[in-house]
Amino acid sequence: MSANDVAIVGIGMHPFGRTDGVSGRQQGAVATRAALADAGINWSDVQFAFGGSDAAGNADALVADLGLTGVEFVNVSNGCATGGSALAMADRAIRSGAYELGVAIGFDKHPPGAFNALPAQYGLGDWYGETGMMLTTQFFAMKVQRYLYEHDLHPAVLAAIAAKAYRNGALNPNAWRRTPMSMEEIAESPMVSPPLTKYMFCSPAEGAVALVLCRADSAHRYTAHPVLLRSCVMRTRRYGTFEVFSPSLAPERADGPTVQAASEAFEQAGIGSADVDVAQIQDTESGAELMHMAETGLCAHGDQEKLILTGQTEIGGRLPINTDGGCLANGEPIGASGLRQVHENVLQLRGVAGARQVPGDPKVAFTHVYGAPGVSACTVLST
Amino acid sequence: VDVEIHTLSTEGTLWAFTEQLFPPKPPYAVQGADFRPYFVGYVELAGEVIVESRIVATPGSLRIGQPVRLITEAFAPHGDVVTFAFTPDGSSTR
Repeated sequence: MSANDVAIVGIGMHPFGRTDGVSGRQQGAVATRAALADAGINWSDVQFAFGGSDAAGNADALVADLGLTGVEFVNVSNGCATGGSALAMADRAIRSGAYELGVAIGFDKHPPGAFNALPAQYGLGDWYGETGMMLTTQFFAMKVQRYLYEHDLHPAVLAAIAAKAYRNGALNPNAWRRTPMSMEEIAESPMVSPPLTKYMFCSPAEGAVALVLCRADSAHRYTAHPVLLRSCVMRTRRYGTFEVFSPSLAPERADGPTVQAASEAFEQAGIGSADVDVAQIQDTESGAELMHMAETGLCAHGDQEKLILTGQTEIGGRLPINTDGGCLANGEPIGASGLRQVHENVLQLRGVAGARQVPGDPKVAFTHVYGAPGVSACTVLST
Repeated sequence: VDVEIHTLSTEGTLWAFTEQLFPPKPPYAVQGADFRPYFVGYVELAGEVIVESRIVATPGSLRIGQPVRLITEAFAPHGDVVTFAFTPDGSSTR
C-alpha cells in the first residue's frame, strides 16, 4: 500500500426500481446518509463530493438536503459511465494527496420507456434521428449479432444471461425485478430488435448509491472492513471502434474503450484478470454482458458460451458475474448505475451479501461500465 | 489536415443488421399510427468505410455478408422525406 492509496469505508443505497413520490435527489440523500452512517461520519466531515445525475437535476443540489457546509461539490455527467466517472474523480482527489475524505454519489429518476437521445447532443446531424437510427437498442442488437457471427456463438446464451440476472435479482432486496424468469420466457418475450427480446434489455429506472472514500492509511478510523480501491480507470473510444450512435465505422477494426480501461485497471492494480473472484459488468442488455466478459479480459473471445451454459458465471461458479442482478434486474438510473456495481462488490468483499454472497471468501472484485458514445470505466477492488 | 472528396462505392456487403420493431420517439420523421417496422444495418463498402443505413428488405431475407446496393427510400407516409438506403442485390427498388 502506498501513502495515497484509496479505501472505500462507507456505502449506502436507495433501492432501485420505481419509487413514486420520492424524487431522484431525495433518493440521493437517502443513499448518502446511509453511506455516512456506515462510515460513522457526518456530512460536515466530508471534504469533497463528486456526484452525477442524468435526469434528476444537478447532483450538487443535494447540499440543500445534506447541509450547506461549503463542501467542494462537482457535478459529473458522462452518460452511462457517470457513476464510474464520479468515482474516478474521487479516486484522483485522494490519490493526488489533495484530500483525505470524500464521497462519490449517483442518483437518477428516468421516465418510463427507452432513452431518447438527441442527435445534436452527440455531435450528429438531426437527419440521423429523423431517419430512425438514433436508438441504442439498434446498436446493441447489431453489435451482438455481429459478435455472435464472428465468434460462432449460439444466440441461446442471450436468454441464459438474462435468466441469471433475474435469478440473482430475486436474491437482492434492493433490486427492481425480483421474479425469476426461464430462458424460454425470455426468448419468447416480444422481439425489440433482433436478436434481442424485451427481457434481454434493462430499462431506465430510479435509484441512488453513495460511497465514502478515504486515504487507505486512515481507513481503520471509519470501519473494521475497508475495501481497497486498487485502481479506477476511465477511457474513451479510439478510431476504429464500434460504438453506439456511429453513422459510419472505419474499415479497420480496433479494440473498444472497455479493453483499454480494463487492461489498464488490472495493470495499475497489479492484479491479473484471472485473480478476480467476483465481477459486475455492464449488462444494459444480454449481449453487452456477453461481449464485455471478453473485452474486460475476464475470459477469451468465444469462451463465453461454455462458461455461461455450464454455470461458471453463477454466484456459485468459478467467475460470478452480476451477482446483484446487474442492470437487467436493477434497471438503469444512469447516474447511480456504476456506483451500484461498486456497492455490490463492497458487500461481497465484506462477506455480507446475504443470500447472494459468493462463497469462498472473495478477495478481489472488478467492475465495468460502458456508456454512449464510447466511454468505459473499470475498477479493481480488494480486501 | 488534408481532406479530399472521395466518391464511395454504391455496392457493398451487409455487415450487421436488425429490425426496428417499436416506434422511435421524435425526431423520427414518422410518428403515431403511420409507423411501420423497418430494417437498419451496417454496410461494408470494401476498403472504404462501413456505413450505417436503413435497409429495404422483406422480413427474413437478410443475412450477414450478402451483397447490397444503394437506393433512395421515401420512408415517410406522404413521400416527402427521402433518404439513402441499401437493398439486397436483385430486389426491385421502390
